[in-house]
Amino acid sequence: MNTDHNHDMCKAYFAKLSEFIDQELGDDVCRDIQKHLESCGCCNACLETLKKTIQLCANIKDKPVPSELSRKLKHMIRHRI
Amino acid sequence: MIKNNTQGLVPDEDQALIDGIKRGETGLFETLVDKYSPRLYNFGLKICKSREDAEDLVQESFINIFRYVKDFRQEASLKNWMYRIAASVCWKMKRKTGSIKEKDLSLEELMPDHHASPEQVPPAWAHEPVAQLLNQELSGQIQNAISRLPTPYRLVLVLRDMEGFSTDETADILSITPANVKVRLHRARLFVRDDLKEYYEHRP
Repeated sequence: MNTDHNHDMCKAYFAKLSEFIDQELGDDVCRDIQKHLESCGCCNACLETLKKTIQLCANIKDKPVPSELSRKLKHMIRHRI
Repeated sequence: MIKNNTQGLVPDEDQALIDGIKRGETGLFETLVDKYSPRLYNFGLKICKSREDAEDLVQESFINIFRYVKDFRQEASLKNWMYRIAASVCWKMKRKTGSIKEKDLSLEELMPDHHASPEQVPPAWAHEPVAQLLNQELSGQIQNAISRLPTPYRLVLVLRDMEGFSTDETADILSITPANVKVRLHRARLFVRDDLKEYYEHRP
């Protein structure tokens, strides 16, 4: 990894990292970002931590509906309709 | 499956539910609650500041759903329409409590300073399997970071990354443009990422 490169492009690509992860960019931009990532350790570290953040958010477990809330909802149905 | 006018599909079972409710089969409201209350409750937990607020959000959402379901025209899937109602209830609750204006998230502030703290290799946690990382403590840490996001950013991150909606669906649910969804999502993710980075840097 070249750690001595010009960081001028970092800012421009940094703004597009989520779209890059979500595959919402055109092929040309994707290629440019991929090339930049191969030479920029900082942006690559940012990309990897961002990807892990997304995976962690997606895997947080849901909680069951409290029985008291279910009871209130059923009561609401019976008395409002 | 019945093809929708715009995007997505209305599953047969939802179509049957809507048709039945429109015919006056009020018993089907209970089926609707059984099917969707777990999703709306967990959505509420992620976007509200407390469990009590999440419960209020679910109740208020269902009141609106019952009131307007007869006018539901299937321009979106039933699920997306219900989330649109829940998001709008969230905004109403926020206005009611007179919450102070929230700070915007600036991309500049979220960008790591390559010169001040040059992190040249990803930290170890970026390579660990999710199942190994995601214990109760970390789940709490992430939920706390999400709760500190300004509401417009929190809604987008929850819908996109936790509830599984696409960019276009999220834009539709929140009545904003897809470009706006992308901007908010990126900043929200960076905010949570910064929080996680700090958490791992200060862990004993």
